Amino acid sequence: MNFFEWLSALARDANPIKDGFQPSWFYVFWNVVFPAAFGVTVAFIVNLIKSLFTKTPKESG
Amino acid sequence: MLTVMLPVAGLEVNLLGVIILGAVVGILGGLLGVGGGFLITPMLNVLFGIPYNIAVGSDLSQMVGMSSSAATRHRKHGNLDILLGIIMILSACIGVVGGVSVMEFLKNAGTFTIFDSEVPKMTLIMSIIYISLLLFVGTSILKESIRMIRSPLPNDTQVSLGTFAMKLHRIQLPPMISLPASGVKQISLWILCGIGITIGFFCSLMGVGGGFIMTPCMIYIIGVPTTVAIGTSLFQIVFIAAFGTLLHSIKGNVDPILVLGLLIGSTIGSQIGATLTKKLAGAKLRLMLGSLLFIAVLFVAKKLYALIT
Repeated sequence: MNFFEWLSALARDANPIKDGFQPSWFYVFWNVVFPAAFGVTVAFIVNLIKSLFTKTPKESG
Repeated sequence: MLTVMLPVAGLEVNLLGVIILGAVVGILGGLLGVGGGFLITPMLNVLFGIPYNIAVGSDLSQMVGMSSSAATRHRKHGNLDILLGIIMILSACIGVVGGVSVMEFLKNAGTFTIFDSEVPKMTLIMSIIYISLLLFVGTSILKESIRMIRSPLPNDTQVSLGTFAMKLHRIQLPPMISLPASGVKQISLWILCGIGITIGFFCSLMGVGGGFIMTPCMIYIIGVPTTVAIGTSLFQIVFIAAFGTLLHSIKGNVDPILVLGLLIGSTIGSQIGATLTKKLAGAKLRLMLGSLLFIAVLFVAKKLYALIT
């Protein structure tokens, strides 16, 4: 099962059209925590890449 | 090409199109300190046919990611006043409760008959509030930023306060606090709480993250420099959007695949936007924010016109 299939399965369990709909706690948790973790990780990676490629001026002495 | 099935919306969409939409909104978010909720939700509906309940829920979820990414970048640049952000979040929560109560009242208020069309009172009243507020804030920002561009001061990152804001700053109601990260020497805590409650009220009433109201309030009333106001505004959007996502998830209104597509675009876009804030002057940024508010007015007015006719 790849990531897309896993996400689809997670969301299908939460589909409000289904009879007796009740979202799984993991679906609710995922929707709040995954975006935050994704955003902070992207910012961290971008900062890391920037620090690797930014040259600091050498002190003249 | 890259067509995926959205399990909750029950629709097939082009994932690349969703990523591009996310990127455009992400650049605006990182650049202007707005979550983009008032732009992305109608676009998801108009361009991809996604029902409003799922568009709103999924948009709030991606807003958590986009604003946390942009806020992290702003913090790295020193553009974040955490104390001010926490005061705003806590006081906004009180306003949110008030806004939800008013919304519940309006929801059951019935309809108006205009030109033989039945228009829900809630839609009409909300649209008028939205248009009035956006026009007022947009006009104030445009006037001030054009004046600053024409005759710039040596340091234009902290705008001069208007008469109303100066009067608020003179109120010596204890406890008085200082906001060193924003360069505000002394201000009554009650003024900050009052602003937070008002913003929270309008946020819950209008269903948006609140960046487009919060940022101008911080700049023009509290006297926070533009870049710090944008970073702090994004910081508070993370928490308001997370709370909204939680409520929508419980109702099954969030589509994780749609969120993923929007997130990929918006987080990359927000990084570009946050970097651009350092390169653009404060007055030009405010001019862009003011123009964006007028675009939002057009969207709301068009929707209202379609309802009436």
